[in-house]
Amino acid sequence: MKSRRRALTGFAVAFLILLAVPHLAERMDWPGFYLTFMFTAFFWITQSSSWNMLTGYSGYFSFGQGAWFGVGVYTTAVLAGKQGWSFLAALPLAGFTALIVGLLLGLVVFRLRSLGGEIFALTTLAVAFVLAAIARIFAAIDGGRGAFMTSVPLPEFLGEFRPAMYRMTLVIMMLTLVTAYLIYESRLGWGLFAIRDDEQVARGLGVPTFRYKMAALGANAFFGGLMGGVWALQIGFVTVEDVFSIRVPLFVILMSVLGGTRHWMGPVVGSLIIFTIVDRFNSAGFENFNQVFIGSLLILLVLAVREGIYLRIRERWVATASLFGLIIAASVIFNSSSMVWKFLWALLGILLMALIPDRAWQKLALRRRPTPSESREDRETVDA
Amino acid sequence: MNADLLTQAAVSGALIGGLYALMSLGLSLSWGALENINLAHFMFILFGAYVTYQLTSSAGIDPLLAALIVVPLGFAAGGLLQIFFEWAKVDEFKSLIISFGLFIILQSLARTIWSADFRSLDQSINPYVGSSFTVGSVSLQIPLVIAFVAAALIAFGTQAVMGRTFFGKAVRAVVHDPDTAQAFGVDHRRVGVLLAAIASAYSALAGVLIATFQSLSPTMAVGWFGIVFPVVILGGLGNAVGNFLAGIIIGVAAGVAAVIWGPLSASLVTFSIMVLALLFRPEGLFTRKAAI
Amino acid sequence: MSLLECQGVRKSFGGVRALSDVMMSIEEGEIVGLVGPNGSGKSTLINVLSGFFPADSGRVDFVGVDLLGQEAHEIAAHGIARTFQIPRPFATMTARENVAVSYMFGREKHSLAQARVAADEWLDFTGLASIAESNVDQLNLQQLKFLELARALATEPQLILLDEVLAGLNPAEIEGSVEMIRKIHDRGITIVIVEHVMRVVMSLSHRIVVLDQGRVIADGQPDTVMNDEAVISAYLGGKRI
Ligand SMILES: Nc1ncnc2c1ncn2[C@@H]1O[C@H](COP(=O)(O)OP(=O)(O)O)[C@@H](O)[C@H]1O
Ligand SMILES: [Mg+2]
Repeated sequence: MKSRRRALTGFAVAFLILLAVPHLAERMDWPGFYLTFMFTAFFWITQSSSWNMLTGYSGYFSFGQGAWFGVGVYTTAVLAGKQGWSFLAALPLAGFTALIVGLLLGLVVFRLRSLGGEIFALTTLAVAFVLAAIARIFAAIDGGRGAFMTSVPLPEFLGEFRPAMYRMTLVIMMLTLVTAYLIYESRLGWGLFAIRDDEQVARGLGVPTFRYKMAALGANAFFGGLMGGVWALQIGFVTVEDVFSIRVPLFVILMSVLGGTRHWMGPVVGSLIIFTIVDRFNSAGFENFNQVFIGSLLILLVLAVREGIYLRIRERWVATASLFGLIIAASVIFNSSSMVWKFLWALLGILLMALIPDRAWQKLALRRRPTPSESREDRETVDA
Repeated sequence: MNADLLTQAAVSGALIGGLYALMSLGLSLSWGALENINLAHFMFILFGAYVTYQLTSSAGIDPLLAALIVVPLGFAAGGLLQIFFEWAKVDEFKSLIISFGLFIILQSLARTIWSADFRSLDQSINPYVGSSFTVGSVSLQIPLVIAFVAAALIAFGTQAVMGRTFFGKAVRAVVHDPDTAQAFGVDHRRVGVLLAAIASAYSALAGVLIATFQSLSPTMAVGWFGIVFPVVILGGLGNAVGNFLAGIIIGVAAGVAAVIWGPLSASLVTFSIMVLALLFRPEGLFTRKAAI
Repeated sequence: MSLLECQGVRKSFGGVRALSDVMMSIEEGEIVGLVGPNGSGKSTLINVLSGFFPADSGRVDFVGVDLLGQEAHEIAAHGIARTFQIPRPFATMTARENVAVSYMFGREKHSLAQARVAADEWLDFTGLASIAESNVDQLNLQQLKFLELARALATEPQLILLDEVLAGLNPAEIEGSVEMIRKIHDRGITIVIVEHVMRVVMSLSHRIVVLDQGRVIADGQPDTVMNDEAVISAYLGGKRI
């Protein structure tokens, strides 16, 4: 298919450009935290995109991202940190262990025809909690003493710590995004969308719902765990309280809901915005308000923006791109703070623009707004 | 390991199981009868406990008497939240996400007010903590006995009210057939708000009882997930007596498991029970399909 | 051999016997009317045949395969499709997407690219080509019912089970729907139709099966069945003679 080949080329180009960034950073002598900022963004994009493969596509709401992440973290923490495995040998197992745990959960919950998504949601909420208990009980995993990753050697070809983290997270993010895209453009994806809309009807039309839900959950857990495996390095000293906290699922839900769960790009946009805001909050010393801010934003978004902002941004892409460029240019001219701050202002501008309701936008826009059928033309859907 | 130890664990487990039941009842009612998966109940419990702690430690009020203030506060908070839910027309999923947001906000608020340190009521101002009596070789902690009795009264009282009174019938009518209920002059919104208020009052009371014998910390609410969800599911949504019995089962199982395999195993055992219940009795152990 | 044959099919909900010992066979190429008073178990039978509810006991043979205990999606793959009494379209999809999804799964598996083409053929067939791009919340009842048909047809079934496709339509729409059902039959698809409007059932069906309180009380030519005493009494207030 043409559109698929074009998209995959796009992914490849994006990958190569991003791969060049560490060299550029060295050459141009960027502050080190630029790379950290970027690979942390990669981390969140991966987590929320993998969450979206299950929850956005199939409609099964999951609080379990912390569990998949945590299993991944502890897999490399135990194998590389304690058992002395080479890191790159341990890393794939982080994904596969999470995959197995996820499939075990699915085997239990998805077999229950009579139960809806609410039970699934609550079960995933409890899973992280149980895994935390297991980690605390067994000394081989944690035993309440934590695990050190600080002395784990990384292969030389990856470079120094920061560029190495950058390269590993970049590869995993690209794998996740390509998977999310391919599912979105395949029978699996459309089967999942049908499940999301009406699972019973989907089954009656021939969608093997159990297998499909397992596939979505598996992909979710695998990529969440794989990225967790790398993230153990960034955490350094791994503790149960940190890893299995409510933080990861909370952020992932928020990011995806903001960006929109119906499209594979939604979580990418949502992650960039939320992560940048929170990162700047922290650097400005407002750490304690983060949770209040995040909680309030979550409530607001659920009430106000149902389809997420990505689809709106795309409909208004000319305005979005101009606004982004304008704000970046203005902040380059008028202020000398770091690039990340400029990025934040631009994102906030886009966010505000996307929050303008459709009707008000129609009045504002000079151009005639495309009719619904026209605007749907560029949707990557069956009718494309 | 001897028999005495196990007996003691089982009895204490059954007693604290009563408290587990009370902690779960609010969520169970709001889920079963109002179709709100209201995670804010965890915060009603937490704030119930902290406010009790505050009233006792700074004003010297007996912690149980503090219930006279705390429970009406819980009642009001739950009613207001339900009014908001009605206004925003939230469905089951939205209620889950919104109340999850509230959970995060309030937990952070609790940490701001009372810090992340453990807080507990000293024996000098709290006559209940540490007091106990013995029956045979088994010792019974007084605060647990009080909690158990309160939970039992509430469970059976709630069931009786639901079964016999006009309010109970109105709730059932609203759940099963809102249109007909409307036709008979039952205002489903008012019934919903009242029920939500009562459910939250129960949660606040559970908080009071927790403050009489436990140390408090803002993050403890997350730890309750492993108790409350198994109880709610085992008991059957909206089934007060089933919920009470489920609390006892979970309490005994957790208590005995803690003695045999260590305290950390308790949540594994309760979670396993929940999974088994989901597999074999998804409508709850004590429910004949529709409880309400 | 019959296309479909059920024997001793039972289904209870709690204490309610919705189906008791249902015995029925469908021949290839037939249009069979399934009638009976409200609550007699017609929808339940369709739910059991299409795998939405598991039956408690009995046998359902479809071209020699026992369907009982099979999942709904497996039954769809054998070639049975159904529609719903109250239309249940995929709400976040357009009409075309609804049909395309169905074509991708159904009896044979097709790719997304193939589905894009096939969906338009079925929309054409059911006269919905003009609303292919519409979201389903913009469709009226008849369009939704036809969309149900298009979606069922897109699974390429041998047997199609229609649950009250005419209910709620006005006389003109009913005429159109009857035409459509004939058109579907002309493609060689066997049809079981549940319907209340007797005039329509009598004219469409080759054979009529009457259910009452979960039992088959009559089965035969339309004229014979409608003059059957048990059938008359079942419809006229249930007084046993
Ligand atoms: N999902 C269900 N749960 C409980 N009872 C049901 C269910 N579906 C149908 N019934 C009962 O089974 C009987 C047959 O219903 P149904 O098959 O819908 O009848 P019909 O379609 O002929 O009007 C009725 O008594 C109905 O109440
Ligand atoms: Mg019917």
